[in-house]
Amino acid sequence: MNRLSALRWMLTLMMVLSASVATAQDQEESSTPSFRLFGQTTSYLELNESEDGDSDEDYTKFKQLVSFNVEWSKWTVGAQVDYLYYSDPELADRLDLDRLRDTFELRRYYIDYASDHFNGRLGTFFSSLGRGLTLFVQKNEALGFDEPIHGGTATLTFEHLDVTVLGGEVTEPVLQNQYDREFKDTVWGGRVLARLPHDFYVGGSFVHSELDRFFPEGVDDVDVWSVEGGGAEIGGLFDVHAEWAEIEKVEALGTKEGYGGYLSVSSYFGPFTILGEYKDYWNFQYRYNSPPNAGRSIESYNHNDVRGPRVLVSADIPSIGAIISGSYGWFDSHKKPTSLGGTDGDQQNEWYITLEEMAGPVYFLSSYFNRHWSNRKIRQEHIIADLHLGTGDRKEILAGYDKRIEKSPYFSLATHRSYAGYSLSPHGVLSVRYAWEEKSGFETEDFWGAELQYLPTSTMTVTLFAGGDPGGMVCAGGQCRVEPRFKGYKATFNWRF
Amino acid sequence: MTATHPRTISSSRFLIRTTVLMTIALLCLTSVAPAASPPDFKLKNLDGDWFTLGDHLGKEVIYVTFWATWCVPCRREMPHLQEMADDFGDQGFLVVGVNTDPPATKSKIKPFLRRIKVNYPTVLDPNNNVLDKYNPTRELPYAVLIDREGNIHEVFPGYRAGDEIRLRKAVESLLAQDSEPGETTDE
Repeated sequence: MNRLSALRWMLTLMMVLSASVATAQDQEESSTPSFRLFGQTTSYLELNESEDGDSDEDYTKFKQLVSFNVEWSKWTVGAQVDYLYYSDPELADRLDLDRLRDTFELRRYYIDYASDHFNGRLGTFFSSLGRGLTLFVQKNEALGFDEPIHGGTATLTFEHLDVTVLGGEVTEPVLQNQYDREFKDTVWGGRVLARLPHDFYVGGSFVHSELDRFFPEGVDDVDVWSVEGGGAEIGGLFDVHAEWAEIEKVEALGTKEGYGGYLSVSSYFGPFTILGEYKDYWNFQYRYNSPPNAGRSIESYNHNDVRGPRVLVSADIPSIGAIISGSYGWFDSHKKPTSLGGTDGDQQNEWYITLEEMAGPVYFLSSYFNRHWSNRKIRQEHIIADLHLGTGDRKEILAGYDKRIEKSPYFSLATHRSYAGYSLSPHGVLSVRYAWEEKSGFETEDFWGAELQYLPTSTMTVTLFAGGDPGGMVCAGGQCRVEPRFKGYKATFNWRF
Repeated sequence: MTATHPRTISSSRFLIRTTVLMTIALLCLTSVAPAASPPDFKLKNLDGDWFTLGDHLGKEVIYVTFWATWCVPCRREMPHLQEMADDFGDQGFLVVGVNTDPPATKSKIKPFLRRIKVNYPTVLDPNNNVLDKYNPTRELPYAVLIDREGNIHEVFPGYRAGDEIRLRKAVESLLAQDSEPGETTDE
């Protein structure tokens, strides 16, 4: 038995033993069993029209999702089945994350046991370890990332100690579409966290993964470990978190080593909230980690080779119900003139300022983001304005504008999105969307669209969309994805129970 | 999990399969009674201390609301929730915020709460395991109002201006049904 097999067996044994111990402890506790059935069904129909209007290239996509979960006492059992239909799969956009899926697929299946001392799950699950430094496998609804780990996880909770182990098979959501084939990877690992007096904590995590290689065919081994520590309200003033990780990647062309260091400190003085962070990541990113970052969650960030500090300051202006936030970060890479690519670093300055106003029925948010890579002479800007005006019981007038710009000496791209909406009733909103894309060397493209969202009950949502969207870079929750452009019709029906 | 090229199937087979699947789903749905008791959970707060929902069920009127720092409707709703927590806290009303931010942005949560002056209990669900049990679609905000019997009284998916008025009326109604705070049903 090799070292990895032994590790897997040890982790599995730990899951089983911890389940036995916890179940024995829980049986001594009295509890009132409860039974509950819950889930959802979602139907999605898309009539996708080609950009040039050639009807031969139009296609239909239909997706049906049914999810059932039964909770009884401390046990939950669940399954989710997806059905997917493409009238012509060859025409589906390469950026469509469903493109390679099978017709019928059991997407989720799990049995979960949760109690005061033990939480264990066999089947599909999402997890992160070490604030994302060592492992990050999460669902992102806004981006369509929905690839869980297929395996098992267990967490034992003692008074001052948490122990988590996990393992299983996983697929990265974007790669399989980019390379037009399936990628099956495995991850195994665990985390220990000890709570100390005065709200201090220390811990560490370890993950071993075997990654299906792009080329040549084979497997890359990645080992990453981290130690972490911090405290809340230290000296009554500061919240601190620090983490250090090291990574070793055994790839086809040799072994690479890297590291990741992160420090965040936050505090409060009167109307001011201050957050500072310092990060130092070198050759650190792998397929299943997403290191910490206090930047905007709607921008893209490089976590592989970057180092530098960021300061975020917010201030209240209570007299007008406004909050002003500003952030400035100055970062560099570890590149040297002798490095591949030959630059003396990759310096970037990033700043943004946000004004948020909440006064009676008015909500207004405006923000300007600017990032400049001085060595490469690339600039990114992102402008947002969002207005919501309440006009009565669940009725609103909505308006918004979003502009992303990317400029380099050789290329520029600006994508504008705007919308205006009105609540027809407490149950529905009708909105009109207009977007246009300006790309250097090309004519400006316009995209009009209209969307009706109707909520007949609190558990049901119907959405109808007709028109177009330019697609492009979309970010949410700190993750990003390039979405395909769209022209046609979409209808979604969702029912939760 | 498989990820192979989907087959092109005929329209008639597509319709038959879809109809069968929809029928099964609807039959199951129509046989399902509304959920009564909310899933219990035990999560850590921002200082690392445990919070167990079960400790409060059957004792207080509870509003469990799932949110994230990047969610604009959540930001709009939270000051209203703080106002209600201040107004009805001594009558046995408890607001519990369940933050669903990923671990990578955890350092932003506390400054965010401080900035918008929210001090009702906030717990962390970084892997969204609890959110999945309440709302598998994971839309935010998503909240349930729980009565003093420990049963789900009403679900609040999303937030639109005016929802806080509906919530306030529902909370006042539930508190009026049993005006003796702290009285338990299981003792």
